[in-house]
Amino acid sequence: MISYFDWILFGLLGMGTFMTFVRLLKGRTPADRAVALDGMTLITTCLIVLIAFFEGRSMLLDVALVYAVLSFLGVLALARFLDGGLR
Amino acid sequence: MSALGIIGHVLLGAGGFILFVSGLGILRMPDVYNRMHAGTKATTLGSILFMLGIGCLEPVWLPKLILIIILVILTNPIAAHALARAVHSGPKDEKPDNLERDDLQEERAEGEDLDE
Amino acid sequence: MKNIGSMLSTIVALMVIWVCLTLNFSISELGLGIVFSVLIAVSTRGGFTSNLFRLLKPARLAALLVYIFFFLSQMVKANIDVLFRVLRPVVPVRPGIVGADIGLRNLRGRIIIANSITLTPGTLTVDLIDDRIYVHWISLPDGDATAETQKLVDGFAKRLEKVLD
Repeated sequence: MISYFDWILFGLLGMGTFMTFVRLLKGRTPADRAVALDGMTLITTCLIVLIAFFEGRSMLLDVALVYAVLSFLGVLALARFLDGGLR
Repeated sequence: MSALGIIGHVLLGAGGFILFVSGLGILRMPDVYNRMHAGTKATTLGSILFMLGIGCLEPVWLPKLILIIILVILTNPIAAHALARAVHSGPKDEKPDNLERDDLQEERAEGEDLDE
Repeated sequence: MKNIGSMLSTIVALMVIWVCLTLNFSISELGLGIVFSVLIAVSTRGGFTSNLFRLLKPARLAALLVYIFFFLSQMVKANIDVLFRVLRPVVPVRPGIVGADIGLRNLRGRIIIANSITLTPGTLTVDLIDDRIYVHWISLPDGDATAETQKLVDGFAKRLEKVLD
């Protein structure tokens, strides 16, 4: 049963994701977008863990773990790219 | 509700709020470096509290959640550091122009003088 | 075989991660984990981890605990700081990048300090060149910024030195 508290949690995380997404769209510089992407993936990782808890499926935890690793690698590759091309 | 459940809900609420603040910070802060401050510190502690909260509500998952926590603590500062370095060595018109002092820029300028 | 200690610590670390991931204590799972841990440790010659068994002295363990608690308290302070800055109507910033020296010779120690400084109040590591560290302040400290930065770095270095020797 989903209580009010859980709705608030989903709302907080959803608002966080939305605001980073606005920054991702507005950007101004590529680095701004990369920072926004970094924050967004971490908030989404927490969202995946929360969904795993409600669905009661421990398999989604593995999804969250792999998602965190891949987002880190993605941001690192982006940083390398901004640092003067992928050499 | 058990004591562990109450602790878990408190941790979940605190973590969710800090994650919300980090999103707000990334949207509101005035330049790239300051956005990085919000996007690194706040998301790290927020996700740690969140994972611990879920761990209190579902103790069987705790080992895997602790793995995610360790991963976040280790990787998040490195990602921020790589991005900050990329911004600093990037093109001039994309850098924030409100820095009051910049020792790294001076150091680089001196190094170039020595090379010539 | 001088790095047998670091190979053993790679095996132990990988086995802990394996058990956390599988949460299954049957003989076949554990055996598979040991086989892969030994394969990875031998093929990388223990290059992934330094010798963790050196930490198993009471003085060093105590110093490690002190460091972790100091780090966690700094992290909580950093978040309260960020929270108050973000929720103000006008975000108060006075940014600047300041250099400081790290006294540590140990390369891993330097990386740990750089990452710790990123997570402490108002500071972000921008670059690490040899033993110079460049810190971005969200708002420069009043008074002598160079001395304040040096004090911050020394605070971490002093506590970490006791762990690494």
